[in-house]
Amino acid sequence: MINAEYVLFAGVLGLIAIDLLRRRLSVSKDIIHWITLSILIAAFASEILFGNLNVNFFASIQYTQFINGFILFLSLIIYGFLFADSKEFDTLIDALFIFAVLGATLVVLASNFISLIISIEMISIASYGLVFFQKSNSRMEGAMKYVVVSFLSVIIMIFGVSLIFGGAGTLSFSSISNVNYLPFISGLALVIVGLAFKSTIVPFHMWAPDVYEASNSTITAFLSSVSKAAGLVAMMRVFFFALPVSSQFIEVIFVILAVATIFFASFLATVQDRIKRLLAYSSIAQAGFAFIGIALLNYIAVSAAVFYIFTFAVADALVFLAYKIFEDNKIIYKNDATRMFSTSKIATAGLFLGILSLAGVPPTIGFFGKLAIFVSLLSKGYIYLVLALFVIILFSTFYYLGLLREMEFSSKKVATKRNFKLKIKEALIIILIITLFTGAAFAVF
Amino acid sequence: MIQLIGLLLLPAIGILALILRAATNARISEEKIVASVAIATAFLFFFGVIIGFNGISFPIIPSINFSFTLGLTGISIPFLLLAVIMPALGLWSAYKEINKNKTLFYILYMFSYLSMIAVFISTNLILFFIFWETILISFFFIIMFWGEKEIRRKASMKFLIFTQFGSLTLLGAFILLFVYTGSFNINVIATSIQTIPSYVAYVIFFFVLITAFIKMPIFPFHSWLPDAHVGAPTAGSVLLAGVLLKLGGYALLLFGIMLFPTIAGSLQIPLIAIAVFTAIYSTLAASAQKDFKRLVAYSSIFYMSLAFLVIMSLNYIGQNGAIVLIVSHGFIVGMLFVLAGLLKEKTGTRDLDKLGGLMLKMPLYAFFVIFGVLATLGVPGLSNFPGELLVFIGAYAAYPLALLSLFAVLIATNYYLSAVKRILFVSVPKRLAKIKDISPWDAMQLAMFSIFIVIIGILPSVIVNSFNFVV
Amino acid sequence: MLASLVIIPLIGERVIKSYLIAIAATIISLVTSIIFSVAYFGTSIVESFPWIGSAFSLSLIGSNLTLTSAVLVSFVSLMVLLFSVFYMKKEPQERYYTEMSLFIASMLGLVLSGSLLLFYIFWELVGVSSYLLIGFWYKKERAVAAGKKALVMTRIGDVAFLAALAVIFINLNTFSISTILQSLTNLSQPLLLLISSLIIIAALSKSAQFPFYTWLPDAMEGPTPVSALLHSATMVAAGAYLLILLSPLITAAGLDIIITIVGLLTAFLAALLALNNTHFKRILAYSTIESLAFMFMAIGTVNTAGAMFYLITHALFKSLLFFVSGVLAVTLGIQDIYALRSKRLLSSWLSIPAAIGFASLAGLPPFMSFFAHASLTIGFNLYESILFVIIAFLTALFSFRAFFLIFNKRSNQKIEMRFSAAIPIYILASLSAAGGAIVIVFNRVLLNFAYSIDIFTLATIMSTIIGIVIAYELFYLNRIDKLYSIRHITDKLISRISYDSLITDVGNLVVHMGNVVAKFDALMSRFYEGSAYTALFMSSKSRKLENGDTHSYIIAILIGAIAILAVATVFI
Repeated sequence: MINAEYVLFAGVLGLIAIDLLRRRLSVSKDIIHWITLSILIAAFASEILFGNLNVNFFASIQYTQFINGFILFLSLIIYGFLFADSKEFDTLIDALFIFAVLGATLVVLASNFISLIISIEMISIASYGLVFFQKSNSRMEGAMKYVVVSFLSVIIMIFGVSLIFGGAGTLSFSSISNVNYLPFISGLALVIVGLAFKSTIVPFHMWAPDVYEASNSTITAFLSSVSKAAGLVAMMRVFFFALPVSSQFIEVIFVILAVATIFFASFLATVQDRIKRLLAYSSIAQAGFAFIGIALLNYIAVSAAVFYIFTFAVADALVFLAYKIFEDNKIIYKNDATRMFSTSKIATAGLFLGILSLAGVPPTIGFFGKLAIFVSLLSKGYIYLVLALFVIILFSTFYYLGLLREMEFSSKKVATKRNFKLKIKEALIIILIITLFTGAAFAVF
Repeated sequence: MIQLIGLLLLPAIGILALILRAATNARISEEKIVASVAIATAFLFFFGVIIGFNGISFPIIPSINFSFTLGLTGISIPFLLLAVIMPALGLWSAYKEINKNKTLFYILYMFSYLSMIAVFISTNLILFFIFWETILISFFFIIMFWGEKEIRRKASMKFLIFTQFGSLTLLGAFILLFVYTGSFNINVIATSIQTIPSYVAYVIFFFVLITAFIKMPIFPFHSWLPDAHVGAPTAGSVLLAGVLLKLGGYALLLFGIMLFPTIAGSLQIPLIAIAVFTAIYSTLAASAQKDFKRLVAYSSIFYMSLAFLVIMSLNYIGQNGAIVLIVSHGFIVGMLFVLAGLLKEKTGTRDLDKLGGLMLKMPLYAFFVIFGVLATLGVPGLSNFPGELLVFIGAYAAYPLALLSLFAVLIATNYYLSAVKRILFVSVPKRLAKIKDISPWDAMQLAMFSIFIVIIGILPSVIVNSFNFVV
Repeated sequence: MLASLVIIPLIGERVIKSYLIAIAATIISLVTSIIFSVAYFGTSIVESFPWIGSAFSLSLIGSNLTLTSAVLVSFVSLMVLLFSVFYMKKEPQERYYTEMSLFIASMLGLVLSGSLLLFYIFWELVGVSSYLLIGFWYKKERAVAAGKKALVMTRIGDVAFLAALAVIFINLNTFSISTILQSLTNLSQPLLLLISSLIIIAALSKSAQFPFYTWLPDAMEGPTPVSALLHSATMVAAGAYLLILLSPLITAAGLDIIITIVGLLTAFLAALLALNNTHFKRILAYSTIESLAFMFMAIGTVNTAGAMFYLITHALFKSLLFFVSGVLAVTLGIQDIYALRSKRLLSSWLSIPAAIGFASLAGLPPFMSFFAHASLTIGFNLYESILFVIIAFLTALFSFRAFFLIFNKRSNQKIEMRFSAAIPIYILASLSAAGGAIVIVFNRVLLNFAYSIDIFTLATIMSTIIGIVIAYELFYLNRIDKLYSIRHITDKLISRISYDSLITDVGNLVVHMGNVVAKFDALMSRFYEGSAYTALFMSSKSRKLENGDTHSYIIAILIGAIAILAVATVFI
């Protein structure tokens, strides 16, 4: 079977080799970008055709093909953006990007704590490089913060895993039974910290806004959708499909974390002036919603969570990519929104629809995602929690649509370079918009 | 038989035509497209009312029971009448008022047109909710981008936050219904309503009630309405009062009263008390308003509280009265908002203190103002009369003390007559010495409203026979 | 068929000489109603139209009572329209005649209604059209205010009526007046009390009885023909007519005595107020209130036929008096009776019709009004009769005060005699003078009609004559100034009983409450906004937590980890 992971792995090795060769021969770097693109396309195709690999440390379960499918799809789109801007960066980024994608797909498949840590690190290390995309002080600062805080979380997680090993005697998800609860539960708590860091759950989220803001918006799109989705899926994998622990403990902790995330991030998002930072916080709040689905630890809720992860990943990718176009035209603050429409109509539509989806307005997939989460919450009887979430959704609607209220529709053309690059980007945004409306077909309960 | 989907296809074609027009720079104006779509839809609707409608159903996402199911509920037709006619009548005002980003405005306008029709014929709750939200969002943008400069931001945000909360509680009710009956189809839910445990039923009813409180609106959730009306352009106000407020009543009837009559019965007295309080409260608040549009907005709260009161009366006469009142109020208050818009257009202000004597300068306008005010006050022969009559009979049957709301009628008489006096009578301020009367074109719009008001007033059975309400 | 009676007056105008159309339509109405009342004499026919379902049907009924009233209404309306040709020459014709037509049609519909629902519909329409007509001169602030006052005050009655309708319909499931009256036994006593008190309130407000009478004098701001119509056969008569129709209901509830008391009180107050006033039309307004109070007293003594007869009589002489005041207002432009005194009008052509009118008002024989009084008082007991004698004295005093002051001394002052003014005045004067003859046949029209001339009638005549003599002494011979101190006292006394300011205060109170509520509403609105801002404020505070410092990030992570561990230990 030529699984997507094999394609990516072989591809990235080949790419590095070809890149070395290219540097020697001093051929244009375009060729590398083209190869990267084709690797990603091939990976996506093979994912759809052959599914995931199923080996000792990496096992497919019910949702993995869907998750990896959309991860690869979004990566492809995001790379399309990078490709359009390929003049700006070195070919090393291509390899790092593929590494990160590979890591994300492996996280989803990991069936053992060892393989989980390895794949998470694969994303993280590649992400450091991606954040430090172009040489500049702010990118450097962001990358450094990311590295430092991320190391801490990895250390905590490794400590947790070792405790689990002490308690359970194994690291494989499927064979954990007969555990010694004291080290096991403590270990589990530390693993939660590590994974929560990756999926930007409050209070482990603080790096995210800084890093998201410091990076190139295309990379932010990747971090906030693909990378975060991988973290959340890992969380789900560990706590729903693997561990025979008292789910009450997990449920309490997770619900608290999720609600804290949603509230805190939504509050913070309202007071941001910079569009990007606002989007960063909103992306954190979205993770909180997905986390609720995981927290409930039943079949309906986890299906809802999977679907929700998909919906917000698509919407987040869409808003950050659309924002990328505005950022290039110096639209940074909310007040600059007046120029949005004249800069690019399609990007405006993309941002607008993405925001609607994040706010959960039908008929975008965001609505169906929230619907699924609410169905699972209400079927477990969390009526008060649902009411509280209604309030916070209102709050988020407030800041989401507040973002648009500075917008002005003037038909006069502002001098925007409508070049080929922009056209590619707009085409990619259109693809995402279509996904935003048709994606509901993947909703499963 | 007319396929219901036809009612949706026409506006959809309109939207496409608007987009194509913008893309190809065609010469035809936006208004023409919208007007022709509106006329075609209206014809289709009336034709359909005569020969009957045909539903349609095909699944979209079977796993969550999301299907595209169109069908008439027992009370669809009177509401559909408003949804089909109001946007057409609002078009006149839009034509004069909207002069920037017309294409975008009319696309939103058509979106809300389509959704307003669709809400009343969707029998799948998800579909229902999708259109319900689309209306809100289109309105949010209509107020935000084309509203009155000073307060449109605040008004639109307030509108959004309040009504969005109402939508969310409605969504909560839908999800609970789904969780306990396993279906999003209103007909299936109605047959398996017994499977819902009673405490959940209370929660659902409570959710729907919040929605109705916000949307209709009822004290203490009404404070978005005056702002939204003042902030909105006239065309928006017409739709807001003519259709949007009615959504609350529709939802309450369909998901509250029809599904849970016993719960409604057990909460009847406190809810009636709230309605009576709202009636008196809103009329008192209206008495103190200086802005004519704000006054009309408060009085529209009053009429909706009467509708709410009588919906809660839970008897046949009362329900008839509620629907007649709701339909009639749609036309009357729409007309009053158009009048308020014309006032601003002609005199540059709606402040009652700065007006006066317009009867001398604008006799045609004065005629319609008097007509509209008399219609609101429930003068026989005009549409509010049968509504109010049935409302008070129904209210008495439910709970005799509900007749206390009649005091509100007195207060309403007082402030409406004061407003008429301050706008039309006595002397003309110097500033307004040169104003002209409304054009025949404007008069035509007002006459259209008047025609419906008179028809419903003289033959209320037209409305009453068009629905079939089963408690 | 009967419906045509209602519809005919509504037939449009839109042409310059619209009075011709209005008059023609009214003539047709008059003729048809006469034909109907002759054709259907003694029978009663019902025409029913379903409205909202069959329970809410609208029916017209043609019986002796209703058709007689229809004849009266169309006749008086015709007179008023003829007079309007004279009076309203310079005013906008279209609007005036449209509103008049609506007014007349509504009143015709009202008297012919066989169902309480239809009655209510026309009842409201009468109110609305009178609002429009009273405020006809919309540039006059007082006229507009008066119109508004009239509608708001009568609206109190409308609302009570509506409530009564609701109670009746829910308990009897019908609106038909005859069915309601037949099934009174099905109603419990409290319900009967409730319904009849609501109906009485409705009638009191419409007929401007105590405590609602203040709108009627103000309504004099309208054009005089409007006042004439309003006071004679339409509007105010509607209240009395309602009680005449529903008197079995009132009797069953045992509230007759209330009506009598209110009637006596109103009559007394109105007579005093009339005595105090110097504005010709206002005096007439108070006299109308008093006359209606007479009708109410009769109704209170279950003498509906007497009340009806007095209603007819009153319609004739009251419109006559208004026409007289209208002619004076148009030709001289004066309405104040003291100002008119100096004009010395006794020798003008108006003095004889006016004398007939005022004598009718005082109930002097042999005018029609005398017989009306005789039939009115037939059911009175001793106390009521005594009080009536006193009121008759006051009535004579104020009516002849007005007469003697206006038509004071002969002179050469001429008043131009216009055809369109003189014809109705003479017709009405002769009818008022000679109409008493009808009394002989009237008991064939209305059952239970009777009149008697007894000791109290004589006492009434005596007191009336005394009143006239005193009026002559005081006002014609102008000795009033000598009695200045008395006048001063009465003025003071009377100003106490006029509570116009109270009504205004109630109105102001509503506005005040409105202001308070509006303030509260604004406050609440601000509370909502405030909570949004508080949330924003809190958010901006929490923003400080994220200061971009990596140390604090690490600390947050550690705190979080410890917290989770702590929770975890709880579950171990």
